[in-house]
Amino acid sequence: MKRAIGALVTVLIGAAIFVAIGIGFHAQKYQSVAPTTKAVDTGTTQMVNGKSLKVYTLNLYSYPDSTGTFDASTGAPAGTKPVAIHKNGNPGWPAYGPSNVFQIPAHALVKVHWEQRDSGGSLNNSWFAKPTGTVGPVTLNGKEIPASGIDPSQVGHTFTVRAEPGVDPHFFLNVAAPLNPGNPTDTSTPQVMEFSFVSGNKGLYEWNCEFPCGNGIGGFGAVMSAYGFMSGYIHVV
Amino acid sequence: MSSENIEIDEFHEGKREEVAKQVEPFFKGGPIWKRPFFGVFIIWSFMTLIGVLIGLFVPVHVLNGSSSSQQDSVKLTIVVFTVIAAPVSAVVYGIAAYSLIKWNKRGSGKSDTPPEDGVALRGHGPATVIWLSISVVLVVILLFWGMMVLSSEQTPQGDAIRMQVVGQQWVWTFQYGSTKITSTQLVLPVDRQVVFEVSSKDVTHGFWPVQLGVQVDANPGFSTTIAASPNKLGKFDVRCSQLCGLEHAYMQTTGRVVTEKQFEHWLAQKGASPKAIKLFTTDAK
Amino acid sequence: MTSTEVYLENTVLGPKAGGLYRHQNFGTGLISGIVFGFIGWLIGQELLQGSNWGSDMTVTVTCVGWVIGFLLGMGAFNAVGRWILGRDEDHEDQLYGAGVGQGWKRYFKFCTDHKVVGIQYLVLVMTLFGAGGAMAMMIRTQLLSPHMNWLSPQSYNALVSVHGMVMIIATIIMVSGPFANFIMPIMIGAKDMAFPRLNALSFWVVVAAVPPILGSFFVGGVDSGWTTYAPLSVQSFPGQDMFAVTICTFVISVTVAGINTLVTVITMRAKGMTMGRLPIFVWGSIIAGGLGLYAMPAFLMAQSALITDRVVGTSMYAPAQGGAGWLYENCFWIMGHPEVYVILLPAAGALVEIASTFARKPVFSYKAMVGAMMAIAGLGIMVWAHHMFTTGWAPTLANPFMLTTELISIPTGVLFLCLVGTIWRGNIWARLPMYFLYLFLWNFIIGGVTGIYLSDVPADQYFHGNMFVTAHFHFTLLGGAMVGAAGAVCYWFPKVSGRMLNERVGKWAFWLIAIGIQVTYYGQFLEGFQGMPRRVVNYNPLFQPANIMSSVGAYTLMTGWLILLYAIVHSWRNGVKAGPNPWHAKSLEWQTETPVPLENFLVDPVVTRDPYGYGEEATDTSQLTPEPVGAGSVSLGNEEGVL
Repeated sequence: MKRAIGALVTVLIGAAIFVAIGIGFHAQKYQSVAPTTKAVDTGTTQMVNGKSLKVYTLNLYSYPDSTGTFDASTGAPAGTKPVAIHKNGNPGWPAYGPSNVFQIPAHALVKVHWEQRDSGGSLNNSWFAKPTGTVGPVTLNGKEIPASGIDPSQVGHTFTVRAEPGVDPHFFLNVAAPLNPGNPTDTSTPQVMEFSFVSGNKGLYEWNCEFPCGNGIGGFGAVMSAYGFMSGYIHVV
Repeated sequence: MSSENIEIDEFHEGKREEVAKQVEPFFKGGPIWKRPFFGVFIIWSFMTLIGVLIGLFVPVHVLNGSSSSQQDSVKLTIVVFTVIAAPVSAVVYGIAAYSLIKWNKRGSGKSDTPPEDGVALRGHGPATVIWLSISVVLVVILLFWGMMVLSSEQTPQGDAIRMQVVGQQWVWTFQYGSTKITSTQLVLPVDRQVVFEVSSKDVTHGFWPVQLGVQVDANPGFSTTIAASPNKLGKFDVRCSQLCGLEHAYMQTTGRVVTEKQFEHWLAQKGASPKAIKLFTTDAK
Repeated sequence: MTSTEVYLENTVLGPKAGGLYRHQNFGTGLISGIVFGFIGWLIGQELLQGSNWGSDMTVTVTCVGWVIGFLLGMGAFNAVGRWILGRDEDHEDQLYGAGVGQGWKRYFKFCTDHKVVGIQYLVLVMTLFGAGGAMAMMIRTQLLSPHMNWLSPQSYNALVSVHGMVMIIATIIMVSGPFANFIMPIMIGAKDMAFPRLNALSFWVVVAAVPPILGSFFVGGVDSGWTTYAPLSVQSFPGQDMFAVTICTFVISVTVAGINTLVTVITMRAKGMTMGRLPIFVWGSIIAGGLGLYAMPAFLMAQSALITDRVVGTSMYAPAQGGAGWLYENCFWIMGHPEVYVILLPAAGALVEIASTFARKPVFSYKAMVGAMMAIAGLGIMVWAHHMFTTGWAPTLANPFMLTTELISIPTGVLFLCLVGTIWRGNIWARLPMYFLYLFLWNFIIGGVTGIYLSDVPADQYFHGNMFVTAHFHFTLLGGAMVGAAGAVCYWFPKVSGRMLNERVGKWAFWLIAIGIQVTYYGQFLEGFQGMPRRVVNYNPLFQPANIMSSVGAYTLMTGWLILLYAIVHSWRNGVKAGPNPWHAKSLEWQTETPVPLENFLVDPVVTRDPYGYGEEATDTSQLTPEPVGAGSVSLGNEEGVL
């Protein structure tokens, strides 16, 4: 009996250590994850391919400097209190805002308004300059872009979304925004992309940027491989 | 003092026969159910039966569906290997389990004094030779099986279509040769060998069209090739099998095996000119 | 008067009372390590212009500073320093170095006694298993659900990578650390290892190597798996530098330990201990040691080239500048496959000892067994490319590598033959070590058979990079080697601790471990059959049932190991006192006293036959008593007792 208690206590201590470490790692994740941004219901519907879908809007921002703040001067609606673009910002690392975790409803038409303020350059794979998976026109600063997409050597960031493994049918969305030709700061005049897509089945989707804005081989080191800067989740509910 | 100690080699030479007599005969002696052989045989049969049943039914049911002749042969290989391995493994289980049942006295685990010494059996030539020969034969069978399947799978055929697979962190894109069509979904015609020329834009990825049963790494800077022969219409998965960084888990997509007509239709829908499609699908023949 | 005599009268000794020597311990090592690490950080930051704390240069220099500082602070280079200054050590210094009269404090010092080093290793190994196990639990928890959003992908990849490498480090030293140090010299009748200071060095170098890899979590983690394939590892976070420093340091330890083991066995055997009479465990240790000498330098090379790629911008692995990822992969697997046998062979050797002792029979086919181990080692260095069947590298070599890989199953089969042949017709003594032997037989067959699928190139095209591989190598490394190590712990526990292991608690642990292994890895085999790739943070819901099964098994397994840990710790303090030879075994380590005296034997042993003479007439040793060392195969030789 005494030995059984001893064994039990050992197991409990072990489990407690494990839970403590686990909480540490979980907390580490929230160092890089902002509160979820939900797509806004417009209350309207629109016909897409013969189906009537609810329309949602989602605002997206890409900043050259993750240490800046997200407020009216950087594209947020007037009256928004300044909050850090990224909880754990790093000078010289770009980031997306207002969050890196989004929530959108399944099987809805999502209209995205994207303000891109970062600099850029050439893509690794010029195919990503072409929008894929969008519905209707894709506009840049109010003007429709050609079907072949934007100039692959003048790309700022891309918004590339994939469904969770096993989600069927195949869901893939990719839109590239051109670089900011001026001096890129968090408050400079953005390149505004507007596009719409139809969300897929429920699941935990992933988005990331396919423009190599990190360092190292392929430009995918550092910020590109750090979770929560150029990548994140989309909850499709 | 040293005269009391028998050198081990001396012992081997001198006492081998004597010891052999002490060992309870494996095949002979007494009624058949009392011979060790019989006990081992019972356990062996039981374990073999379980192994063979597992081999015949578990992998084929659990394994992903097959969409190509390569995956068919993977399935067959697993079944054949399990069925061959079952009786061999069962020999070890049979001997070990029989020893435990027959020669473990009740309560020996709680005793502080050891049981009496067993028979000083320091080896058994014929048993070793048989054991080795069986291993050698099995290895030869396995090797020839592997070589046969490998050569039949990867023999290029004249009418194979060649396409390019590009991996990059963390997306697969598939380029249909001269048609200049690029897609994130892999669509293939049925009953045509496809040669994938696989490369990467950044780090090493593993191109793994799961139900096609083939796999090759995508390396930056040059391309590697692998051939598959889709033989069944339907969907399949494409996964990345080589850890490639942050979103490795999401570097997955789906594919479809369609009829030749549907394939041409799909290419046309994607914007390929009829001439390019013809060049791509027919002229390969 | 000869000059020697003159010298002996005025020996040039170190400072009185050893100077620094007597004031150095683990604490000073830590302080010095931190100080040197800080100096390294300053150098990296200011002189070498690493731009910020997270730069590769700064991280690498800091870690190297820590390693050097820690070893200096431990006093690892004291003796060398004395030689450089032309000073000798006197006998008192040497006794001090061996930890005489220091009680428990000697476990925290640079102690040259091989028994102290063995126990240090044992504690380190259990600590590393604890760390690696906690990571495994986190991985399994994350995989409970396909939508699990508990760990970020970055943390998940870091956990997967560091879990892998910490476990590999732990398994490489789990038998050859504690037992090849504590038991092996006694087994061959030696007074200590051939190079006692190198022995201590090999241990403290591992201690120095561990913090960097665990610290990698704080600088972004390692996101390229334990294999750290380039070019991904070149692109990865500065955590990768810490990983590489750990590997380079650890390889030094394995190399030093391997040479030490080999030299000890070659030169330090007792009179009459011919190579043909060596216990199989000793054979396993030296073959593994030699194999490590072949294998590990390739890893050192691969990882140091990785460091130069990352830190100073060479392009060993950058394809665009003429480097090659395949170069890394080849170097890695030239280490990676032999390393499996470096892990396995000592464990297998220990199991042979267990089989012989608890079946009360001589080892079956001693020569075949030794030959099989050598063949495994020899073939083991020729099979590395079977890990690269699907890389596209040298397709023409697929068949030859398939051949060599499948050939390994022949000596492995002989290993099984020897084990079951030893058990056959034995009077089985079902104590705890025997339980682990049976578990090994069960698991290792499964690990071996699933290895055959992977050796087959066409089937490997399905299974490579798939959870099936994960399950396979866990079955061989955990189900095989680690279970063998657990058996070795239970077997040698009375000799090491002087007390009997509480087998009732041990058997609870055993059954949880046995069942846990089956449930965990059958689950992963199912995942593999279904086509789940390795190292994924989220997966297709199709795989969920198998993943839940695997996770539940993993929790069971953790419970089992923790209970075994409790049994060990509890028995070490409160167990029943063990006599010198509780198993009535015949090898030399059981003939000497417990606790084992300094230099192991009161009287130099002389060996007249091998230690497996169960059931043979000549083992009647009653006439040889009352010699201090002299049961079984040992008889009293010339009276050269030192203590």
